[in-house]
Amino acid sequence: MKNRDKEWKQIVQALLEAGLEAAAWDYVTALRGPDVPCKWLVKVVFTGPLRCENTHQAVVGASDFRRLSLESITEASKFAYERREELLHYLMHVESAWWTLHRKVSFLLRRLVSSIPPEDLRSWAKEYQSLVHEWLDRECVIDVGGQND
Amino acid sequence: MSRERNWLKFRLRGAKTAVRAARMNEQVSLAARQALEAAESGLAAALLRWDSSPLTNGEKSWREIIMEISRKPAVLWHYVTALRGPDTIECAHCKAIFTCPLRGRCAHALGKEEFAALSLGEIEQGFIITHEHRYELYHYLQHIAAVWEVFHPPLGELLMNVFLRGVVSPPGDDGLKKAAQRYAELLEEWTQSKHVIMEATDEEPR
Repeated sequence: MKNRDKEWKQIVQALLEAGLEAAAWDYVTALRGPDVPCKWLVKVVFTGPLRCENTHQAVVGASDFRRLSLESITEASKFAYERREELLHYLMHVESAWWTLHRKVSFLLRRLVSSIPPEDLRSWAKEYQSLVHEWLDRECVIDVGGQND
Repeated sequence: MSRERNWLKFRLRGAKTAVRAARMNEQVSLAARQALEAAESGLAAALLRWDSSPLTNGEKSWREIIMEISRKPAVLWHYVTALRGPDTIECAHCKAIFTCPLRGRCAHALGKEEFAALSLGEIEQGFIITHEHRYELYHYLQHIAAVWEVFHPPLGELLMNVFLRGVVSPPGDDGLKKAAQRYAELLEEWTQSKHVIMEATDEEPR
């Protein structure tokens, strides 16, 4: 089963079965959307993919992310970048969750909130979109270094 | 103890013996034997606690709380989405007052001990500051209140009234201090309960 078809509980289970309790903690604490009032797109872009297939009604999930165009992801990234100080706590939790799931996404998110920001947000968004889809299309939850890419 | 429980315990002992035999066998790979060691200690812990009374909520970890409510998907969702502290402001004691008690024992982050370390005065002060910033904290408080509405409804109602509906009686700091005291009392009730969802399972009259 691909990650995109899994429920969040299956992700937690996979992490716990691998003995990665700290990673499971990082993952569950990234499941809530941002508390800072912001665009719906921000939640879809950064929280949606982590929730995978969401079975709860009216709750943002990976399928919402899948429907987004590159322009929408760029728009959300621009918003997150411009308000990165307010969104820092939220984005750091999202970044920590990706550390075990797909490390390249984690590094990419660090660039977004770092003092040396990405020069071209469209390219950043394109890379983010591609890496997130790469993980969603995988069957393995945990990043073991380029498996079934 | 029912015959079925006896039988299950007997089978669990058998499983532990089988796991131990595999763990001791050097033909089994080292990685598998290491995993079996963890399995053996897990089985030993289960057998040790087989007849002991359930933990109180105050003794449970976030994983044990999740396990207990795992068959209620909506409740479980409310719970996990309330585990992160607030994103918005550096509110004095806000995380320790509202998030930490829900986390229970937590090896990787601040847990229930953070709340236990607070004085009543600090909790009262936290209520006053949280109330001042209730609009910035609205999303966060909504998630916290949603969990308590299921875990311990009077506590959920209290948080809803004070922070989401703005009903404080008497109005002002005195009302908020009174609400903080009630919060601490209700939280203590939940901490002493052996059921995460109190209303559905506790026997004491409500």
